[in-house]
Amino acid sequence: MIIELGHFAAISALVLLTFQMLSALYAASCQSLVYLAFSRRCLKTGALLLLLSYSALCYGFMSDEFSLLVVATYSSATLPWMYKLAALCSSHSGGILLWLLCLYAVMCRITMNRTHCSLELVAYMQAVSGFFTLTLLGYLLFYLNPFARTLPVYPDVGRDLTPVLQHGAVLLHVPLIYSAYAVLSVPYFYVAAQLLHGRVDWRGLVWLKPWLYGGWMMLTLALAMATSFANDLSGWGLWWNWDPVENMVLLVWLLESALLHAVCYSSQHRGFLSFVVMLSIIIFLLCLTLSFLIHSNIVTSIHYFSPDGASTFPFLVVLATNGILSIGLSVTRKHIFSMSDPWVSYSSAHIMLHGIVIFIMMAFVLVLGLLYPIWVGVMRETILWIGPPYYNQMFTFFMVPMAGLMVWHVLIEKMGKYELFPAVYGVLILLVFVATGFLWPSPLGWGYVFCSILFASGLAFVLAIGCHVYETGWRYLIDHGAMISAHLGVWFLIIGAYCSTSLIQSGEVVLPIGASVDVGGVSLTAERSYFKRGDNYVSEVLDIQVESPSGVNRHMHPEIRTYDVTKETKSVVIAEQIGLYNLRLILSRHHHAGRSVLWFWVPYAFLVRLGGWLLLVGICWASVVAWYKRFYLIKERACE
Amino acid sequence: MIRQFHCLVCYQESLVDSRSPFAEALRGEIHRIVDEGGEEARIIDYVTSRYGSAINQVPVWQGEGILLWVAPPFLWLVVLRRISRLQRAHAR
Amino acid sequence: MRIIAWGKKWMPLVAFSTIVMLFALRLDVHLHQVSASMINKPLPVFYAYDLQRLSQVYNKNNFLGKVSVLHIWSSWCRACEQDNQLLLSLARDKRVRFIGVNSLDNREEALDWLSIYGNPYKGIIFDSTGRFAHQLGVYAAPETYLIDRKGFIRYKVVGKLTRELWNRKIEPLISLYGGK
Repeated sequence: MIIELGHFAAISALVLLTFQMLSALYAASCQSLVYLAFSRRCLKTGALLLLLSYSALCYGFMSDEFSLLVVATYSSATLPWMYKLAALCSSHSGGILLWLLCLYAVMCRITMNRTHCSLELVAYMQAVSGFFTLTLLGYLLFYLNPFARTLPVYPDVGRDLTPVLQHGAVLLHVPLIYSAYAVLSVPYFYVAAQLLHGRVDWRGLVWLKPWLYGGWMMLTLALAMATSFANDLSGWGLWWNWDPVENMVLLVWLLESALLHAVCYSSQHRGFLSFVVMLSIIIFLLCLTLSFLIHSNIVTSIHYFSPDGASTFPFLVVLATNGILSIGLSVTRKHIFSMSDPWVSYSSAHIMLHGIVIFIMMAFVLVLGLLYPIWVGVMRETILWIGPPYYNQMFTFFMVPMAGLMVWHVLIEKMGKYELFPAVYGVLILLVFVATGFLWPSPLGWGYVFCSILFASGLAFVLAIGCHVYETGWRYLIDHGAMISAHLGVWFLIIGAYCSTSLIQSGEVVLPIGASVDVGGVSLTAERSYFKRGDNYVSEVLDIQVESPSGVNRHMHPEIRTYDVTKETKSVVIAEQIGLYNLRLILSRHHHAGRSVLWFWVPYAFLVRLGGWLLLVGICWASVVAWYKRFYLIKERACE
Repeated sequence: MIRQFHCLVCYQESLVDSRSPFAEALRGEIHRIVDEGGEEARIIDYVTSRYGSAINQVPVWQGEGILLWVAPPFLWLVVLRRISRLQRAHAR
Repeated sequence: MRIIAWGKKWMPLVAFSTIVMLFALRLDVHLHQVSASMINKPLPVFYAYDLQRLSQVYNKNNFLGKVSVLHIWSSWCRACEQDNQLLLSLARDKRVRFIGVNSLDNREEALDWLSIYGNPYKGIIFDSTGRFAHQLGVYAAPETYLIDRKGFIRYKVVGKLTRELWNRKIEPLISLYGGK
């Protein structure tokens, strides 16, 4: 009964949404406050109804209502309650419902804002967001009904969530992604509203900044969750393996960074405005495209949805409609935002422009890597994988100029004073190049050169910051702290990534109980093997004692879990930090002599974590400052 | 050398890292060929004749794959040229 | 010149539409052919036992004289359950001989599976080590091969076999290579 109520609530929300969109459009064209208020009311009621609908679906999951198709496919009775919620978010229809809920929340927030006072702007934003939500909700209810029943068949046990997805990080990752999608649609709504309005009010961009930072933070967190999840996944061996699906999230992240930088500098130079418009629309369309590609299984990876042929083509129609609308708007109203100031050579804005261009190029690499297999699939009907070698090399190629630009930009105002700086930079690179030759055990080929440049750039960056502090005092650190922290974080991340991927060692050893094996300078002794019972699995655990020459003595417990419902197995990766290295053990197959254990030596992996934390700190700091500024600046501006 | 091959079942994993039955069996086959004295070329031929060239993870230097390598730097150069042209036009 | 200006203006929309069309085409494609490398080559030489009657032996000669459909399955492969249902209905076709290959599996579990889901095959090759599957170029269960009367591999389906695929691609090949 509750499920049917939820279904009814969703349908009513759809009807209200139509009214909301139409009245918002009318309000914008006739500048009528009455219709706008009506539209707002429709929106709020619709939001409540959708919340009701989502709660009904949650209830269905928690109460093991297996006559619901979604529950039967993704959940089971023995699943712990947290993973039932994860199953709800990870399913086709449940995920899109969550996305819609986030969209509604975002829409309510942007329309409640009374401080960007133009009536038409608010009305147009409501209309555009209403249109998008309408297409998505319509698609959901007509083609991918989350409340569909399996009757007349009544399954008494569900198919269970894939064991691979039963991980804490997945719980956070999926809702974060969907809310990030919703938040990242806000720039598009704003830009589209401006375009529809025909008049431009770019001072309002300061209003957009907290949304951008918020979306960026969610994306970064989602990526961090994904890498933590990949880290614990036996098949990956490392924290980032250029999985096609995660590539797509990285793609959006890169473009979002570019957009953020463009918005921050648009007050200085109006040439960035065309970037703002273009990037907002591209990011919005990308979020939609990426959902489509994942849900339709065109791009497959560890994220595998049970394919449902009938529902994928309508999703493509949703994508096409929104795309044509958004791109059509930008193309036909181009004259509004294609104003530009002259670009002064080697000015701060000029360097930022080049930085944004490199961001877009890196995103382009990812797009190519995404589209090419699809093209091959259509033309030759074969599967093709683009692997790490391509992405690693392309990204290194672009990262080098990016690193140089970052350093240059920090110094640019003082460039005249520090004429020696380019020479110092060059000497640094040479010194690092020589030093790495002595410190690192094996040569890395071309990567050697690039890595030295990256290392040296990081040091030069710190030096440049030091120069500024010397000039202006410690205040510089507080003013620009967010930027420094975020960029340092990125630097550590890249260095850590580079070191771990190049210097990783791995192998497989057979460990009979009681035997001792020497692996990379550390001795592993299998002490005993025992069984352990979890919530919905039985795991076989091997107790391994790890002794290193430096006196470290620890126990590690890699295990293989066999899940009750599906009988699928999952290996749990156990990692320990030993000195500068990260030792990871995975329990593998039985051998006649004993269990075999896969081992990985990952040096400098802690740099990745350090970099990630610094980046997050930087972003949080920046978003707090942006929110604070917006709050006070807009309060001062009177309604015109 | 086995690292250069994909595990076709588990996607991102290379043949060395994968634990799937397919990967283990194929590793066994390759070890058998090595024991019999076969060299690298014979192994590559054996694997690609059965599974196609897509199993080779070392990327795509031949045929249309070269576009993937050339396109990003090329596009970058085009954009840089456009920016410098805009600058010169403004300077005049 | 006006066309170029018009093209430059509408290029984003054109590019987007091309990509959407690419996706639409891709939705239609069934990626059932990983590689065409074993196609039109003869079956590899092999020697294997039957799953149910351990005394019976298979080799290449068992595939001569009639068009055969070779289906690779295992008891641990979920998609094989659905394939089996389809095969049960297709097995009534007298022009074709259905032979199964039970690859990388445990004999008791395989026999149990057959008793639950049914047995559409004339005979099942027991390939516990996966050696025969490797020689064929199998990488995932289920896979289906079409073998003509002279023992040459003519078609390969990777993944689930659907009735639509059978009608569209395999039926014409059966009429071409075999059945009188």
